[in-house]
Amino acid sequence: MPSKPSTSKDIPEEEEAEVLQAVILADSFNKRFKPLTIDRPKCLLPICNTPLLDWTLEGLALAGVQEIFVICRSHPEQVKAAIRNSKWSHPSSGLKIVPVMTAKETFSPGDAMRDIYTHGIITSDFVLVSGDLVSNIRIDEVVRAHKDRRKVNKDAIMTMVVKESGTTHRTRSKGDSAVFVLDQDTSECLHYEPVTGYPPKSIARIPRDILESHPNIEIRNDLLDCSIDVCALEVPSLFQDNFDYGDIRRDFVHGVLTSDLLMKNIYCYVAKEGYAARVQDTRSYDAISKDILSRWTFPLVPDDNLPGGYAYDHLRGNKYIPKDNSVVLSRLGDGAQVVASTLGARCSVGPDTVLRNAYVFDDVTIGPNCVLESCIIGAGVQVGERSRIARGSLLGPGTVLMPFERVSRRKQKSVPVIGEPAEEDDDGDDADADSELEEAEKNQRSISQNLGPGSDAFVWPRRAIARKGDEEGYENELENFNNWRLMRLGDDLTDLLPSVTSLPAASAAATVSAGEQEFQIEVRLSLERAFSEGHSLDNASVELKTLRMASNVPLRRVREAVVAGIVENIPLVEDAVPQRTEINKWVDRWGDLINLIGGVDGVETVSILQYHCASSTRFPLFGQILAALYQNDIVEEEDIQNWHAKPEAKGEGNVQKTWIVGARMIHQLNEQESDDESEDSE
Amino acid sequence: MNTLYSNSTVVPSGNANPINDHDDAGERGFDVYRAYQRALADEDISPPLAAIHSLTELVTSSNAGTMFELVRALNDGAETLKKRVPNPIGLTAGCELFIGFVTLFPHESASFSELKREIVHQGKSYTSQAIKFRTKIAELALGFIKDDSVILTHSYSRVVTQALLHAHTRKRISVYVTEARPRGLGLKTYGLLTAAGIPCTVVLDSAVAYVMDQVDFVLVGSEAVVESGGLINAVGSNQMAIIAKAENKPFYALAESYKFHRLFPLSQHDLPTHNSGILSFPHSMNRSATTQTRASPRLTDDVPDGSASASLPQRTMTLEQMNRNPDVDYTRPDLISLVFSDVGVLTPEGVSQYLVGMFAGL
Amino acid sequence: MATEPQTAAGQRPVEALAAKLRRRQVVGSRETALETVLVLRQVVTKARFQNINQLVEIIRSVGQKLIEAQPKEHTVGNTVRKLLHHVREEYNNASKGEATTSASSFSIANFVLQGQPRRQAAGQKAESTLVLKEDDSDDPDSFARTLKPVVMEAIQDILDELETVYDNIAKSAKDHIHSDEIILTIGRSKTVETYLKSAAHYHKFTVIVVESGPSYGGHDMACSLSSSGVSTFLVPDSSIYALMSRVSKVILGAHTILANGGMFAVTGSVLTATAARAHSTPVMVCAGQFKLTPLWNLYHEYGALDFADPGSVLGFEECDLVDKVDVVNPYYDYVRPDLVDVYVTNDGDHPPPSIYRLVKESYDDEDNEF
Repeated sequence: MPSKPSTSKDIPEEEEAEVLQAVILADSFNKRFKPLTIDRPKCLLPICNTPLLDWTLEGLALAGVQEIFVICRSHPEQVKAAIRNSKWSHPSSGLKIVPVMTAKETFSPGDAMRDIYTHGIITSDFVLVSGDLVSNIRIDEVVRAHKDRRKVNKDAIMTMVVKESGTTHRTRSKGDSAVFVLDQDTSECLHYEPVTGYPPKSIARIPRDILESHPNIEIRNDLLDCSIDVCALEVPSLFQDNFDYGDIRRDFVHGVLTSDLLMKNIYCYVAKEGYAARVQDTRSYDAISKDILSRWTFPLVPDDNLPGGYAYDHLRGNKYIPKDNSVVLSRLGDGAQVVASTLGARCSVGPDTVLRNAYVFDDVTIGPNCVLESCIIGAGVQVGERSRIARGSLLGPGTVLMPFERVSRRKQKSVPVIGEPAEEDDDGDDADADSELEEAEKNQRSISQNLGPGSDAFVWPRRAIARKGDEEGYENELENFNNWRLMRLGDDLTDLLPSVTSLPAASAAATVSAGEQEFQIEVRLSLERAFSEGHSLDNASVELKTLRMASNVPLRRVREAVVAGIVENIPLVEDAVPQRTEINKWVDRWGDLINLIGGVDGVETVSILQYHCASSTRFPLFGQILAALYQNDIVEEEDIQNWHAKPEAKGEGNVQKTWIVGARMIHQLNEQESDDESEDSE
Repeated sequence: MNTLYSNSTVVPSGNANPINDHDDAGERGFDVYRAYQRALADEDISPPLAAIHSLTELVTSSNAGTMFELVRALNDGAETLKKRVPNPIGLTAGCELFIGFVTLFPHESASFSELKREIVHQGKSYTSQAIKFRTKIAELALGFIKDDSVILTHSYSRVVTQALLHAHTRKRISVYVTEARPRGLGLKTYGLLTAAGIPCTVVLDSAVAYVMDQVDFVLVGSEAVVESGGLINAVGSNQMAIIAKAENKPFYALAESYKFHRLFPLSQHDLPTHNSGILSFPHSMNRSATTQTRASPRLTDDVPDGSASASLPQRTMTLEQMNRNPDVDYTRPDLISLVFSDVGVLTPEGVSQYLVGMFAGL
Repeated sequence: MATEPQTAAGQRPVEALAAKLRRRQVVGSRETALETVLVLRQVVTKARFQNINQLVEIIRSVGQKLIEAQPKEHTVGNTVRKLLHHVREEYNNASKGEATTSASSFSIANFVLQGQPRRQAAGQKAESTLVLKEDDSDDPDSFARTLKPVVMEAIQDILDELETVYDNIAKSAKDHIHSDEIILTIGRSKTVETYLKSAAHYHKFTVIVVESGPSYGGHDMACSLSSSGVSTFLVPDSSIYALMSRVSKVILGAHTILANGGMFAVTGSVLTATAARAHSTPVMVCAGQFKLTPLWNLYHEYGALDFADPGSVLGFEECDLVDKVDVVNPYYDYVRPDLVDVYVTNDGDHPPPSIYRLVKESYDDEDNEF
């Protein structure tokens, strides 16, 4: 399949006869499912007893895709074998599936795209999905819409499929979502603003020119990104040209839309019908499992067209019982409860055991009187009697837990059976998996006493996640621990949620969120301490800097706090002259702090001062303070002029008055400049 | 009506002690009844099959020289059997089938003895085939049993037990079985099912209406399925069907095809087992005697170990009272959802079509 | 066997249809029946066989695949069963000469089977002139060569029946519907639509169409009827009972007619039929014979056959509800035989109890399960 981008120009004429190609990125490029993914690639993890890859392939087959390239990185042999043994490789399925192995240095979707480019396998517009997609959307309609658009507009290089879901939908990722700015008429995506769940993002910045050039825009924070992209041929080459593009959304889409040079357009397809979602993390694993069980994915439902080929009977209350009885619920166990859970093949569940929101893979044995809640149990796990596996646990494949276990929240266990690490070496999997294992094993000794004798489980290190971010740089902000918790199954987020829910839905106004309020209190206390105890400027500024890092607030907030601190501490004196000395005393002593907190921005300082004074009892002092700042070289004349020229400086009421004061001062300064001799003589 | 009572005997005529009867029927020392009893000794053989078996033996020992004689001999044998068995319904179905078959058997053989041998061969091969019918029915019934079904059954029936045991290997089922007084055969079903690990509970015959709400469907066996499409089965089946109908629960009957019986009862009184003794009121003259016996120590005759009865008034029926009760009853076709047989799943109408078709040539 | 590579080659259309059925890209009883016939025609054209068993096996295996793909579209199985029935019939006609019932085949088991209902017309067919040579080692194709045209003819017959089914059912329309009647129907059924339109040529009557949520097929039905001049009302599902007292006849469509005379029909049908029963309003069901299915209702506890997605009831964007509410959206109702008064088919009118006989006549018992 030689591909020459140059020949693609004359293809559109005969596109009806063209083969529709698709690329599956069968690697997650993250570790949210560890330790389940130690010996199995993520795309082969089962959801409702069917590997994710099968769901993805079925979704593509539904759309009439004829040729599929599966880009695999970790455990490529397993992926290959799975494809070879599945019904899809049967010639009559009408699909041609080509597994493509990429180098281990492929760390991001962007790398994979560059790989696609160098392989030259793509010959026309193609569908790009990830290997964890569950979808019944008619992608062929999207492709048709995309191609029609391409006929008119060559620069419409990509169409993203999104689905209306509402902001707090269970299937929508809390940790990793985005605000889309769409043209209401053409559904062109004008701006893409990634949203990270933690630290909470409260402001979406929309370039002004978008508002100018498009009369009808929609700003939406309720769209579920399905990660189905219909891409033009030049998309991989764009990745090739911009070697720093990692993530398709955060880097590529954002980059293309903000770039002044590329002049490419990206469109959105807001799916009204159908279902599509990505199993991005364990939380969405939970949500999508439930969606499947409550039939949102129809006709891909267990009793009908489950891609894996199992057949189920559908009973009252959305219960699904396999037709060939591969799951045997213990008969002895009167009172075994299975609620909102899935059980793999050949599992056995003891009497009086309760499974709630538990996802159990194949060959798992669970003893009597256990309670399993909100957890994912890997293949071959044995759980002894009366174990309690609490919310959010992931049990790695092959774990054996002896009776009376308690696996509590935030502990993750994995047990590689002896010899498995060696296997990993053979696989030549990414090096850090091995080191993680070693590290985990080191921890084992300290923890094993909690687990009771006979268990071969140990706690999967949490640090792995933190470390990963440092190493790779990619998705740094996404993979911070708190954000990662947002994407995790069974984490109730009691400590995080308030700040998340207070996120204003779409308003771009600078609302002060809970985190910032706390910060302001801290800053005020810190300043007061500095003022009263007479800290040195350096110490004070260091303290402020740390505070800012800790709460991650913009620099402006710090500056506001410092300015406010100084202004409010100037004592009010009756007469003008002593007042001026007071002002000069304070500004001389502390004024430099304004510029020591991490950046010099005179214009901002002046406008902060203006707005602060306008709403303060020290309003009359504005002119004098400004003059003092000027004399201490904290602000330059230029800054004042620039500030004065800014439209928002004019304002109304007190703000306007301060602006007039400013105008007078500029006038004075100008005069001073024109005859500075006279000043000297004075 | 009183005239009816006048000549009634306490023991129904069919029950006239058959064991001591000397053989007055059959041909030259062949005792068809004994052959029938021998066949019945096998736990798997039901009355119709035993009848076919014994008639086949009768053909072997018969010296009939023509078809006409042979058929007459068979009819006589059947008549003897019917007389001597208290409940002749099942065996009549078998006799009918075999005689009908012999009558229509094509005369193609060289000699009559050849023909007889052929008939005997057919009879034997049929009885051996027929043993497997239950397996077939069990397989058919399996398709109707969903996972987690709760099933109500009545008394003991070989085919029902087999169907349930078979279903247990593939599905999760639980079973309610009625006690089926007075013979208490439901306890036998209970024992068999529990031994196989099927959750099973015995319910009183009088609690059927109570339990009907909780079951998914009713599964009963049969003595015979008759031309109307109705069902003759152990007494209690009819009320169970009526209750099932009232609760809109399916009522399924299992019947091997040799139980298809050319009979068109219109009510319980039309059953061959019905006699004037059943449910008769005591004769006015000995009514006082009956009331006396009710309180008298004669009651303990029925109870093998009467230690408890000394203090408590025993609340069981006397043998005499029991004998006034029917063994079987007739269930109307409109109460039956489906009949499962080895020739397929039939509606009650389908059964009548079968019977008409089978005996159309006669 | 020589047939192996042949069947593999003929597999492509079968797999394609199976995939389409599984993905619900082909829906509706008649559509699926038509597609099945077309696939069977392709398969039979390509098939190579030397005796009747091989041919039957080929057709059965196709049937098995298709039914497995979508066990809820019963017309697929019915079409295959019907073809098998025709094939056997043709074969028996042709080979009648040599194989008469002999003593050797006369056993008690067969005697019992005499009771099986069969189509009487089969015997009266014109004596076949075919000379079939099975398993001819000299000329392995001779069997296929002689039988194939007959089978193709049978397939064509089935196809013709499917294509004319609506009109044939509608033939009796003018006799069943009278002037000034008020007819109630629910949802959209092509059969009922043709039936009513055909009756409209002769009589003036009023139709109340129940909209049948959440698919709202009744909307299309009402549009279509009123555009061809039938006086039509469209009413919501909730008003069925209230209106029933004024209705003189209920006409329903069917998805599948079961062997016991019950049927699967669009949701709301059982509601309509029950309301009709309460008012003693007659219930008529219009359906083609290809919907007769030799199966029973195994869904006694649930009453419905198939469940669609909750999307048409509850928007996916209702995020708070999606998490807390399970939506049950059945496609079909099971209507008990006692709620139906008559089935109007392209082969005459039948009361529910005689459906059983029709089923037995149309298909062979050995094909009930594939």
